[in-house]
Amino acid sequence: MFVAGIDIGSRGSKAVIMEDSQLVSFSICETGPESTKSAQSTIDQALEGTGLTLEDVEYVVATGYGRILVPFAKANVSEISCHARGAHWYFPSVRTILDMGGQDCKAINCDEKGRVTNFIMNDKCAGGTGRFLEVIADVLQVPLDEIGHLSLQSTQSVAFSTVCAVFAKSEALALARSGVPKSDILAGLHDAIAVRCLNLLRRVVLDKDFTVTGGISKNAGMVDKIRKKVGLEPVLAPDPQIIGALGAALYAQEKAQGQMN
Amino acid sequence: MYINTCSFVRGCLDLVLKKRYQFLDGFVSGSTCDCPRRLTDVWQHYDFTPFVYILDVPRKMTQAAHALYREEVQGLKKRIEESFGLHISDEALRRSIETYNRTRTLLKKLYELRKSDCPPVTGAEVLEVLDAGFKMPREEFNRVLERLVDEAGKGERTVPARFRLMISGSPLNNPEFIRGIEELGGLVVVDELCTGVRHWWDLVDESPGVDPVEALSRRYLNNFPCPRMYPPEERFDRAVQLVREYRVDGVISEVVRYCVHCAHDQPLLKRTLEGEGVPVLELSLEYGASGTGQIRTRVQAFLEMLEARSGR
Amino acid sequence: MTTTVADTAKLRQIVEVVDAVAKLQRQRLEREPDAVNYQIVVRYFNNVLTAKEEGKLVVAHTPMIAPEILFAMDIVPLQLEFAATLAAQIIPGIQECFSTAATAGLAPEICSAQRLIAGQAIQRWLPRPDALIWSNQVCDNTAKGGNLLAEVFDCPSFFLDRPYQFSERGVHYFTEQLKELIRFLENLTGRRMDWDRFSEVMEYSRRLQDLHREIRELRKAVPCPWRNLWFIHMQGTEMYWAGSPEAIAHLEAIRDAARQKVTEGKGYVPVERFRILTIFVPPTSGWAMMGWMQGKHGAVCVAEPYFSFRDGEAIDPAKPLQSLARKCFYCPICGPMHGPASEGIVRDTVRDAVDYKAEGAVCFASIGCRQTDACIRMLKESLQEKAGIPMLVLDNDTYDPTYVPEDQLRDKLDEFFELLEGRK
Repeated sequence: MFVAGIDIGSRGSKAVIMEDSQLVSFSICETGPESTKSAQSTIDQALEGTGLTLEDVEYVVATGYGRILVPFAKANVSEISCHARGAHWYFPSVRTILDMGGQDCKAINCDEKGRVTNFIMNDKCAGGTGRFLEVIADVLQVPLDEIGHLSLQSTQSVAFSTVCAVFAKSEALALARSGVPKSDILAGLHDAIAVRCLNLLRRVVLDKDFTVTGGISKNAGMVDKIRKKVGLEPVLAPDPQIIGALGAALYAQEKAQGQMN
Repeated sequence: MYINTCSFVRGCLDLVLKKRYQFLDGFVSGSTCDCPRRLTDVWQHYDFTPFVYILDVPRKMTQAAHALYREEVQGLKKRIEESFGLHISDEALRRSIETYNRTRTLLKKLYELRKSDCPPVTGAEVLEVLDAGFKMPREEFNRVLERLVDEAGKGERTVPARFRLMISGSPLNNPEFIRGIEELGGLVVVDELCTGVRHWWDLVDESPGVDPVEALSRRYLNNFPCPRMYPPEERFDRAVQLVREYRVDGVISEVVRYCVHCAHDQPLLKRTLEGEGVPVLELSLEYGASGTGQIRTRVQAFLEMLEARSGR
Repeated sequence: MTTTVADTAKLRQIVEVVDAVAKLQRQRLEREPDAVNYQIVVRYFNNVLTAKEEGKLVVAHTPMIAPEILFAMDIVPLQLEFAATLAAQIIPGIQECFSTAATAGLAPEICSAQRLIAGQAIQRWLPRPDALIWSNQVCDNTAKGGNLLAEVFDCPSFFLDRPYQFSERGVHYFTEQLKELIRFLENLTGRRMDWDRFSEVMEYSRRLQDLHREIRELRKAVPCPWRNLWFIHMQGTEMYWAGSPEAIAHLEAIRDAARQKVTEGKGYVPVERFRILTIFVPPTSGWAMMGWMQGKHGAVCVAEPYFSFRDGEAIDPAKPLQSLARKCFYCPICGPMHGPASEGIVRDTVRDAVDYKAEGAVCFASIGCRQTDACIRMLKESLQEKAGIPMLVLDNDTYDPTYVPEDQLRDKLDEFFELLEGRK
């Protein structure tokens, strides 16, 4: 039986096809202005090359900000539960999850079955999110996927007084103009974000088995700072962006089975 | 007012500036917290109504505090009488107390019905009822409320309660907010709000021979405590009692931004309730929020968490 | 979350730094008032550090708890905001304290003073006191902050309930509250209040109040004999040392320095260009900005409506308790923080603008202070209409320098003084 999970995030849309708890395929697309269209093209892309059509998929669960705007989904589950379930699929021993998304950050605890036992989200504010890093990359004119590596080359991290997106942007710009190396500026910003993450993690149970999910976890510089601040080595999934969609697919499987019984 | 004035008070000021309060002859406030106190200052400064009065409300419930508050209430009565050329008789006060107590008794009956496994009303509906009470002439409200309680008591309508929730915190008047929660599968069976139980729960003493001003001041100071009162345990104890009586599965604690009293109580209340084995979802929001977007995600995740915990 | 050992390392660090500053100031004649100020700050914290060996109790408290009562009972006060202010200025790592407070569940809308104090208490920057007193004397934040602190310090605590209005019945209630506080402290120390000593303390308090008023008069002079930083120092002394000879020594030093300038017909700076009314306080990290304003722009702070003893009320040392109760209603901060504003802070601000020939007002709008900020528009309009002067509003956070970088505050001040220059 094939099932699918689809995660319509603020920046990216992700789809995962699974069969009997095994990953069949996945896709990652940008979320367009119309969530419904993004949902369709994302699932189409995931189906491509599998020889399957949407009709072959027994059950679809949607998650993410656009979860209620997916016409072909039979149910929707919050991204918090999906991230826990998805992370648990990759790493069954993980009990603490830091999800760094495009628009917010969450710290989640889960149990041995991947069910949420506690969670905390940052307040709606761009500081310390994927969007924030995009803005900074843009200001410093560094490609987004290079900022992490560049930050690792820093020899003298600049102490940032703020992660307020507005202030940090002008602070970063002023520093760059005064000739401070971009690597040092980036290291400072990554540091500031890591502190925010640590604050979130402190409000849940911080277990030694913890993982970082979401797009930002592909940023090696960011993961390095989190490792240092938290003092623990996170386990990282090969495709951390799809964990939400993966969790949704696992929920789809559970629901489909429930439907049959 | 400023950006750090709570949105409830800014909302009040907004209505004045939009000339929606032209029908008012006066404004009375309690010295409850910084924002309403400064609203009173602004009201007086810009002369929105000729009559402005602020009552001193102590934060303790001691004998001395009662003595002060009683004089404050007496002072308000006197000022109203002088300013509007009225006489407020004890008899009129007693009648009014009786009318308001009637509302409280009826609301208590309505809330009693919510204790059942499948209550006859949703939390959003109850908030609509409470909102109506703030706007309608009290006698008329009592008549409608009586009909409602009768209807609801017949047991013809029931609402399934997958999860029994309590909503607690700052002023809340928007039923849409609760509706949003209930659409996701939780049923609000009781509240701990200043627009809910904290407003109406306790009765005013109607015993013959008790001075009505004394009875009123005693009730309003001793009422189900607002987070501003000391000691905070008074509030927490009563919240815990509600959680037990209404068999609450989870508490949604909403704090309007810059509602500082609630914000300070929040971590202590959360721990108290969790100590009772009841999970708490904390939401920081603006007054009037409808509960969409990120709030909806949090509530949904909270309900999913309750589901996982219950093994349902 | 409880502090188990009395950690005094941070306090010692504060004492060392302030002591060094005091010695530095001592070398400059015109900085005598500053030297005295720093000296008594050192003494204040030394009293806390040596309390145990001297067999005295340390009672921690929030602002405006009338230290007079503690002095009268030979108890060592530890004003938590004062310790927080100095720690914020001297010891790196306050962001870590804010983080700790956030972890403890305190929302960012809570005044940074309370978050900082809570964070410091949990992190054991502060020694565990023998008791805690807190009050709504200033605002809701001070009223509520004590609940968590009492738990963290795990010590006996007392909440002092201050009525809103300065009325006879309000004073009566508050007098009863103070009596209750005294009983609480009597139980704590096992000693009765010494009422003669209390009268002596209130005599110091009376003299201090007179000095405040005397200094206010001197500042009406053009040019103003005033160093901007003094008002912050002076306010500190009123808050932490009222009722002590130390406070008298400090204000007398300021008075003498100001009087000498007036006699000589001189201002504190060679050229006084702008006379400024200060509304509320600059951020703790930006005190140097006050000196900068004076040095760079010749802008002199002539009056502070939130921090003044106005004429009218007097202390009668023969009636220490009643006098103290009344003082808590009209004293700096407490009076203006409570309403009514029209016949209070708004009226007084306009009066000060006129009496002190102010040319502009600078308002420090701290994001955590809902009471002062709510008055901004009333003040701005009233100053414009009734005194004909503009008011600059500087958004900031009193304790968190990351809220608005100081450069931005200085830029705005630069612009404001340009505007004032253009008005001349």
